[in-house]
Amino acid sequence: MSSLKYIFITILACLLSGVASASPVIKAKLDSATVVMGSITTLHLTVEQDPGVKGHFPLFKIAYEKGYAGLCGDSVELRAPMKIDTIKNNNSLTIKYDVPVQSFDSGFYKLPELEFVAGVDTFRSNNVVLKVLPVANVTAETPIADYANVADPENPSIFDSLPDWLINYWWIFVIVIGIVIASIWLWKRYRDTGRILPKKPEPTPYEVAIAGLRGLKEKKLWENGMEKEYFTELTDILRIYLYRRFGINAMEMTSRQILAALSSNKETKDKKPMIRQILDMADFVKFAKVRPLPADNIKSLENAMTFVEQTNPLPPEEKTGEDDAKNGNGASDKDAEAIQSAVKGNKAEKGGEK
Amino acid sequence: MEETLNIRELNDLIASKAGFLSLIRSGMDRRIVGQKHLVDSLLIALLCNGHVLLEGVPGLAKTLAIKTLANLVSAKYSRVQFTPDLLPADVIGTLIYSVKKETFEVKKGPIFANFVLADEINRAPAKVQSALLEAMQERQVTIGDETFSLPEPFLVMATQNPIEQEGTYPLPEAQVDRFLLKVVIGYPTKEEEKIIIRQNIKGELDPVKPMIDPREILEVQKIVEKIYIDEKIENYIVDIVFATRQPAKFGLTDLQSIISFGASPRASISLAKAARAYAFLQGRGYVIPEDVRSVCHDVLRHRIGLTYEAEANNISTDEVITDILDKVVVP
Repeated sequence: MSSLKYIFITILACLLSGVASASPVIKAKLDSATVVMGSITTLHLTVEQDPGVKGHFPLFKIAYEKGYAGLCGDSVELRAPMKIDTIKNNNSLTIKYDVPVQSFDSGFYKLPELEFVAGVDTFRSNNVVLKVLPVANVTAETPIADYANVADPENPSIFDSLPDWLINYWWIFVIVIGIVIASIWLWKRYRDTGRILPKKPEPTPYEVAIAGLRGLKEKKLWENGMEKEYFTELTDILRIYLYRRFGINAMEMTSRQILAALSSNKETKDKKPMIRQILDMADFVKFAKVRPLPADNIKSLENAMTFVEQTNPLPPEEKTGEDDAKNGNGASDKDAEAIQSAVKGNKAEKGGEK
Repeated sequence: MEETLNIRELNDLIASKAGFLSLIRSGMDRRIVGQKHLVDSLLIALLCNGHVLLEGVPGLAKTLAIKTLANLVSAKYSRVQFTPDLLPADVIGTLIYSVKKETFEVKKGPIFANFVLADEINRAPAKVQSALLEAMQERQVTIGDETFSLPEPFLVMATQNPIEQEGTYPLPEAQVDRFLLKVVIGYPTKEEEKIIIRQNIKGELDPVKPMIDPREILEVQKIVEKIYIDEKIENYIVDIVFATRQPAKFGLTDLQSIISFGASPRASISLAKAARAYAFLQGRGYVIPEDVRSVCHDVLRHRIGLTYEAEANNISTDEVITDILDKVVVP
């Protein structure tokens, strides 16, 4: 008895609640159930509800925020904006949503029920099915409605055959090629000359020594009572000359060692007495507080000059010229004359100094 | 050529003493064949009032050389054979109780001689070596409460045998530094050895007669002290010694890892003294770079410490000194 009472009360409560407010009804329908991949069809959603009910589709909020809302694992997209139309009836309200639907993946999709939230209640639409055809079915020959086929250019240019990246960034390629060419050129120059910048010709040992001796003479050191400085500088000039000209480490050698080294060199063997006079005198002056006579000072400088002059090798070009002259080459005769005049000039200069 | 008077006078003075040198040299030549370097080194040490450490294998006339020198100078000579059981008192002397006088009497040791041969100095323990080296430095000995000056001239020639190192007490660096020269003696040449045989098989050697008075040596020592050393030579000596301490600054970067310690200021002093004595031997009243170079190896040989790296590569101090001399600019 009591159970029958419960069933009756429940049925009555349900009937009473249905009278109080009707639930929203949502219907979904596609414009076209078959579309080509990438093309758009429209999903028509109709919501019938009481005028006082306030509801919305949460999915549409996402579509408005992102531009689209993905369905079926993002294979089908509901795109914004969508068209909304509201029609008022006697006791109800009909809201129509036209939602663009697009898909870029071919296949057969069953779109899920779309949720409509009204207060604390959620209502769902019916399912719809969409078939997306692949683009491969569309060939280049397939005419596109309202569009003409792409025509070949009338006067083709060479640039038409070049790729776009080359035309857009040609200047980068020009710079890179320029750097490569410059690098190769510099590398070849370094390989040939051992340096990149052009080498300044170094003065020869002869030039350095002669300039030093002339400078020493002009300083007039011994004339001003500075014999020690005079002989120190004179021996330094000679020792540097011996090192650069004959490879004798004279700067680190004593007088006796220098003379021994000169004795073992064919070119300097017979000129040793001149150097001996200078070194002996220099040792006296530098280490024994000896004040030499002016004649000793002059003789030492003259001996140094003579030694440097006599051991000055002729430049290789001039030697070649002499060889050519010996061979009877007319052009080389002129070169030989030039060498002789240069040598005479040097001797005359030396005589003038004396 | 005008010459300042003092150098000329000095040259003349040195020339007047040439007889002294020729007497010693000819006397030494009569008994010692070859070994010119040893004789010159002994003379340098004698003229500088220094001492010599000799290194060489036995039988190279080390004892004969100093004995001959002592005989030539008519000076007192003594020889001390250093052994592991030697005591300092055996070298310098001690106090002995006299029963007759009922007091302690001083018994002077063999160090009280003009020429002392300390044979195989590295065989005695450190305290004996130290007693000898202290006497060498101070030139006086204290026995009991009394201090005694050593006779003049006073020259110690110590010997070391380079091949027998077992049971020896190598001289510490601080003590070896007190020797003016360390001379390494090599074997004689074939010709020299033939003459040595002939001299020794004919019987007794000719006796060496005293020809020089010890006072004359003291006079010559005073002349040597007057020999002129120019500032350029001083700079050269300082450069050489500094190159042993900071070789990289003289372009000797290779030696940086080879030298563990360089020569001391005592080396600079010894180099100057020895160069002066060498100049005297050459008959000159002034020092030239040649003199410095000639004595450099003997003066610096025992004053430069080498690293283990150098020893592993068989690099000797002589090679290091040669490298330094070849790199330091000569004035």
